[in-house]
Amino acid sequence: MKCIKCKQTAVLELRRHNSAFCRDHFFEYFERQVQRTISEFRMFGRNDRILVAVSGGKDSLVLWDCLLRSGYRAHGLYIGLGIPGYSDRSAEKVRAFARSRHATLREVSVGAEFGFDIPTAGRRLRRPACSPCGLAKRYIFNREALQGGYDVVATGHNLDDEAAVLLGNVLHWNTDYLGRQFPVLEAHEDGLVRKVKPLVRVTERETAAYAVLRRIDYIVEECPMAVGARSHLYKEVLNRLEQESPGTKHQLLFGFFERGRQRFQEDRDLDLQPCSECGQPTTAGVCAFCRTRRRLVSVTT
Amino acid sequence: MEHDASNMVKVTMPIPEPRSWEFPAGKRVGDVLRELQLNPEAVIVVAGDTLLTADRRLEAGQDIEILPVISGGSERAEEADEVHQV
Repeated sequence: MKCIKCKQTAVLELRRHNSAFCRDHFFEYFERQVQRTISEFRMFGRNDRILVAVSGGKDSLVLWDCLLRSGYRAHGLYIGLGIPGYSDRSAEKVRAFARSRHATLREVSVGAEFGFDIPTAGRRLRRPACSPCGLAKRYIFNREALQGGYDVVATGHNLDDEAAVLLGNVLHWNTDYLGRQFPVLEAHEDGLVRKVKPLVRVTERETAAYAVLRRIDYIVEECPMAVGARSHLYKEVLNRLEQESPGTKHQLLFGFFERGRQRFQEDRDLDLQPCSECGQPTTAGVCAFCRTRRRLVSVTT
Repeated sequence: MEHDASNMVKVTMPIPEPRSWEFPAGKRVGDVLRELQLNPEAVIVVAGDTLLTADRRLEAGQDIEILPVISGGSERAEEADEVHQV
């Protein structure tokens, strides 16, 4: 198979684009897709300060790499979740990446700062660990971005992630969620920082290929807390459809953005106030994170 | 059919648990994936510092790694509820 641009041996076939690329033209393709997404959704500009949420996995490190290569002012944020073994290995990947690129990395340890780790939180709350994990991460992203004076938080969610979320929300007719699913989550003047997903146009397979070809050392193993997650099943189903009909995932997600989402949108004016315990914005007196933290403490004592 | 051991290519996959196989040199990557019942949309095939497309043939002496690409937890399924933790 030959690169459609230069006829050198291809390293990756992209059936959804009826294309195949050599290494250099794949880089060109990939970085153009990311830049197109940033521009089309007006995610951020050259002067904005960007906080990239990095886990040590391929998607977030690829995103950080792309932004740094393109000259954006992108710093990393790593959150230590206290998952035995896995958290240490992923932290080391992130630190090595930051060192090799002389990039700024912020770190927050959930255990050191809040007194619990994610596996324990899941057990004590009798919920999947992914639930308190997501809550803690979103809380810390926002707080760190505000404290650090960043304009936007960028996450590594890709086309497969977002298509799987959409499929799950359709299967359960989560109409509230459907109205809000978009690559940009706007800021709120009362303390919610803008959040964006610049990788939403590229697939998980493409980010993995980019990471390997760019020699980005990422944590290949799956988070042990996520084994058996429902989102994996949705991704497998979508990949079966993609195999039979290339372009299905893109059509599902971008078709939804263009023609479906507005049917579920509601004008919601969030009435935000500072959390009485931590000062982060909330619609309640005490924010969801502090409420969860309270429950964890009460279960412990 | 027997194969000359020196003509066999080792193929490994690190996750979900480390696995390895041997295939004869000359076999196409796409046929390997089909035999292992792996969806080509869900993996990449790595040889050293490059990737192999489905039409490429295994070569004696190569070390081949099949990398599954699916990641992410169920937290992501709730990600659309990202009006933070209000």
